[in-house]
Amino acid sequence: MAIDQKMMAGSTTLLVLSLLRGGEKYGYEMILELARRSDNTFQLREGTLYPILHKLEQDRMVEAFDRETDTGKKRRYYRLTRKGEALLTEKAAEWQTFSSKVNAIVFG
Amino acid sequence: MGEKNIQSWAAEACRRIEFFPDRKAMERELTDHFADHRDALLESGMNAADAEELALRALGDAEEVGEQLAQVYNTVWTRLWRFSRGALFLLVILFVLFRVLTPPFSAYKIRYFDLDFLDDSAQMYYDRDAYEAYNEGFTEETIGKRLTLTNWTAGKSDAAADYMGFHWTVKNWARMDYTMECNDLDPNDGPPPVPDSYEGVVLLLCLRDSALYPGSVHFGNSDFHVVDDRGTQYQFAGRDLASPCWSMGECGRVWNRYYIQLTLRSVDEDVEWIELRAGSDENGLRLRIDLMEGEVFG
Repeated sequence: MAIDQKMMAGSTTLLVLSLLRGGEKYGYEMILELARRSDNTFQLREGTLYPILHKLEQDRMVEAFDRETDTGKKRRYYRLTRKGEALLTEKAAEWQTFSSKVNAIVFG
Repeated sequence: MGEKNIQSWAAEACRRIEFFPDRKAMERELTDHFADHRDALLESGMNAADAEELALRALGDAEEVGEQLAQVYNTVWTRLWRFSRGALFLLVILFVLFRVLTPPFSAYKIRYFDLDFLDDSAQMYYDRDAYEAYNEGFTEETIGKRLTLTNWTAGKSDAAADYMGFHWTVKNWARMDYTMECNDLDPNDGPPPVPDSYEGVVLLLCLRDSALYPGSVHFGNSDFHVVDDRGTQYQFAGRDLASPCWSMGECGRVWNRYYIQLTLRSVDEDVEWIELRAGSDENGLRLRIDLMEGEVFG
């Protein structure tokens, strides 16, 4: 089912942070994980992932470092900082409240 | 074809990132992402052209991504931060250049001239090493930062300055390396006093033999002086050697060596050499110190 991208727009930070909760990842890995977890429902325009990641890095929600992948390629990895974890918790709770209220209205 | 397309795409997306290193890093990251996606598609069996096209399309619109990247990278604070880092970097470069271009005070070319040799009326004290050099007459020697130069002469000047002989030790005191070299000093006796300032050139004159006592040493009244290549005469600071060293109070004593310290203040940076002169032109000693290979502190 295709989802209106505008509905995703407000949730991208939450989604990106959530992807990193499971451990450090590089950009393409995050895209794959997003598709996998959402059963291919969410397919971010891949280039737009990086402004989000770099903004989070600037705000010290994530930290970046270079590492070799399992296949020996050097990639830029990202992981949550403690501040990022706290923000994720906050955003997740916010989403829970928001979505439950939307559900209550839509499905009465 | 695919490489060129992704490079163009990445360049377009990153075009508005002002700071060059950030721009290049971001281009690299986007290019790596493209490569990962393309390789995954190739592994799934897709042909190369389709894989590249799909991977490129999946990145989205370069201009849209570029707009978002510009908002992230080109804030007032990031600009200020980068400016301060750039300014600091520039300062470091300037400092390094200054140190590189300023001639180091590392080596001196010493030339000494024996203008007079043996005078039977004078007592002579020999230093073996110097004696060979002495017999060779004019000697030029380049030594490293810490110098010990020995020169001997003996004679009687017209000004009744009986000078026996000297060890000339030239030391750049500003280097704070004032452990004196004067023929194996006993460090238990302590170093000579450090001058109040490190301006100019500090010369340490050591008298070699314990048999000498201050009263027998004359540096010549007005005969002893220091001039530079322009004929400027220098005043001594600290210990005044214009008058003879008559008592122990005026000269230091280190392990049976006597030393007298000269500090020549405010030596002009353009001075090429200074020369210590004792005695007359006909009967005296000259020690020329070439400053062009050293840093002059003023």
